[in-house]
Amino acid sequence: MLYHATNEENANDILKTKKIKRIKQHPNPIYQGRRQHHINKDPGSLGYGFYLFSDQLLANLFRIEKVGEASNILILRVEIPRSNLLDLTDEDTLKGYNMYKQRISKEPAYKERKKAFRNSASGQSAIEGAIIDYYIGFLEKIYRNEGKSKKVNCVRGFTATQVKQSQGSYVANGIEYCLKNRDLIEDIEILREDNNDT
Amino acid sequence: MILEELNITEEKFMEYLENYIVENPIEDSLKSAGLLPYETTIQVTPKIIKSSNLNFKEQFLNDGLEIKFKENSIRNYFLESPKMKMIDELELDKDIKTNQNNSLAA
Repeated sequence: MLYHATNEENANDILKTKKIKRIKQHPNPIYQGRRQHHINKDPGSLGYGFYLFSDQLLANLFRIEKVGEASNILILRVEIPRSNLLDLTDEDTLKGYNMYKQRISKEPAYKERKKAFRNSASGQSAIEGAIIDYYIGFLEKIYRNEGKSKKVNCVRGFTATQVKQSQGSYVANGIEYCLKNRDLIEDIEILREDNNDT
Repeated sequence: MILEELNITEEKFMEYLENYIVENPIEDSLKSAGLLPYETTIQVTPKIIKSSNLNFKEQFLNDGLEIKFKENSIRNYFLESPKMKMIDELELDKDIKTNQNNSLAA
């Protein structure tokens, strides 16, 4: 089970249809981590997508401190095929990503994204997210070259969600999932208040 | 996992890193959309499209409606073609609006 904190209006909309209407991602592969001026929001730390916490407690702290009192926690059952997951909690996968980042750090592509995005004061690393989205494009390209098909539908990573108890720490306090395809969601329900008193 | 499943050595991965960091988003996006054969390379300049696949070039210009642009700087490269200019006036604006409605804001 994974957890998403959102305001009541959004939560009710999602529950009515049992689907999230749209995932904040760029549908056009030409995006590849670039700034798109008609999108009024930067990517999150794991790129564009629908963010989920693996830890209910952290999701609730985030809800209270960042979303506000008129909000809810949604519980989502999500089926993520391992082959569609970019798992940055896995050391080898993370190593590959870090090698990629090192390789492109002097390239115009990296400088362009660094210039286009800002890391927010609230702890969202938009630059990192843009680079992850760009890396996904690179991985899919390698697969094509190897004669295989690949679609990354989800990114998992350790993140440092800034809540009061973090005291500004950079040490990760949880794992987040960034869904890039809403079809991975199998069921959604609301977390009842009597289970929500963290 | 992604790399595990790819089943390539670290050396091979390094080779990709050396050779595949190509800043050619137009080519990548066309290939991802299935509109350009993977073995084809194209070079886009502000005035001309050079393609290693002549058939593709011809098809692209004749069948450009299938290609969706959202980034003006890139779109404008293609609009140097008189045919694309016509397509832009007729279809692309509508397409961009549609895509804006369909995407984003969760």
